Amino acid sequence: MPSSTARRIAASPAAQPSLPDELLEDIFLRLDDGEDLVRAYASCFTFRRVVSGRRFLRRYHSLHPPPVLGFLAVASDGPFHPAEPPHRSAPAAAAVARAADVALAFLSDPGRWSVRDARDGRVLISREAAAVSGDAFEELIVYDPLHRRHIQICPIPGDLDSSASSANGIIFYEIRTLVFNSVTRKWRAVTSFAIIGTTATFRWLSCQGRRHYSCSCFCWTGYGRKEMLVLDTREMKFSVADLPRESYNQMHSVVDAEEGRLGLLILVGSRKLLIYSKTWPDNGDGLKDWQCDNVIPLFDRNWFFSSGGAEGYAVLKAVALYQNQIVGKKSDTQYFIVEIKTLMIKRLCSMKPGTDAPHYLYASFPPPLSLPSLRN
Amino acid sequence: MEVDKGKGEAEETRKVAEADRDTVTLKSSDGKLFEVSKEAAARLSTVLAGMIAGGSIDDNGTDLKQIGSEALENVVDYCNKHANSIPSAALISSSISFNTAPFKEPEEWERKFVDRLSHDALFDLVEAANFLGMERLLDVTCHKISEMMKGKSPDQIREVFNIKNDYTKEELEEIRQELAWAFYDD
Repeated sequence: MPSSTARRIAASPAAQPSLPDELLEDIFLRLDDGEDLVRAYASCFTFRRVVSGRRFLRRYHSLHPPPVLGFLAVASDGPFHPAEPPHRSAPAAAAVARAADVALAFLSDPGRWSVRDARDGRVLISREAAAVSGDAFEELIVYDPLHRRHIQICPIPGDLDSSASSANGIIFYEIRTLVFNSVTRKWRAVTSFAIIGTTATFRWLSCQGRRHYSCSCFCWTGYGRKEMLVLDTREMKFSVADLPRESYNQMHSVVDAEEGRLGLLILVGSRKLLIYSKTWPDNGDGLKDWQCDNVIPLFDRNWFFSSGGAEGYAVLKAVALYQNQIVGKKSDTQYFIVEIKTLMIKRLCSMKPGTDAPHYLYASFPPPLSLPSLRN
Repeated sequence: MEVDKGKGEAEETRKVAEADRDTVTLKSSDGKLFEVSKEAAARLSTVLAGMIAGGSIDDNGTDLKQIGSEALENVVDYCNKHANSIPSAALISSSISFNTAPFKEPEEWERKFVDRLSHDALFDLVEAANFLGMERLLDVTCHKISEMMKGKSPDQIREVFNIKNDYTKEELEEIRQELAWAFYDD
């Protein structure tokens, strides 16, 4: 190790950094912004080797959430709607749009496929099942647009499908979770949950409800529901969690809150956003456990939650006030993401009015900071 | 040759408490001696804790041939300051895993401690902290260097680390074009 005196004598820049790789990694891990990391990469070969190393990137990804780059949705102009300036992810989103296969070019019939979900850099797409097959679900593919890899998921056998039975007007629903193993290429039923309800319950749990992902849990909420269904993916266990009174008959979205807590955003009449949180896993205190952490006032527009909370953010869409009264040209719908840590609401992008297909936040590190999310 | 103040003090202390001392004496690569609280050294440095437990501490000055006197002085200074500072509630609570802040933020006094260091002293201290297995000091010094990199251009980052650009002009141009998204402000 060079002593400080030695380094001072060699005042001119050295060919190699004096610090060993492990210390460079420790320093680089503390750079929250991918941009800073890439500028380090552009400084010298040693830094480039450290930054692009798999070990370093794995550590970096485990500590920093990937930036949200835009939406994936079914639309005539392709499935990717990148973040637009002045959002700070806009340059990275544009880079990913160029580098990635966002148009599903690997498929012979991309037009027939729809985006069904997106998480951890992976996208789930589906094609309607051929009428002849007895399979319960449509064809499914998971793909990684940035690394141009995909895995075909076998159809779910009909006998593993969910079921419902009724007696005396009460419907018993059974919800099952199935896990697909990409090595054995087989589906396996993991857990099931019985719920008694009416047809409204079915609507809540299917198309009309909303699915969120927070604290490693999938949460299903529905307008007018006083509870949400939670699937903790660490234990693959279902539970029902009561929602705070303030959320009744208001739109709400589940997000990650600070300190690993489960957050709930409640949109009160387009005027304000209440931020609630509770410990998770649930400590069994029911409603008492919810606490209101903050209130964000909203102005100037009609606000709605436009999709489930995911990737650490809630998604709001805003349309101009009195939009309905204006005859003729409608302005684009603006989409915003709510950042719980900073309590900021930032505009992500806009979409043409009417393109209201389900959309999913797409978050990923752009190259050279990304790692393939699927094994070939 | 100047008389070493640290050495004089060390000799004084040795005379006072020969048998059961509550300090240890450390010797830098250039032969200077420094006294540090045994409790703080054992708590803050896994390497020193191992040496104390294993009885390999030399009362005449444990040789740390890897560490220069300026860096060792800062290490000792940090240990003593740490021994005197009452761990705040914030520090204790932040040690519980916190999703959005993977690293413990430096305390105010730790921030001031690294802020007053010269460029070379800071880089020597990172290496000393690493060599001695001082996790907390490593946190604080790495945090400081990462702060020096934030928002900087590759040229400025090279200055921070005092390294040469070993890319060719063509390679740099290629990187800037491919990774234009990271060069928004220069």
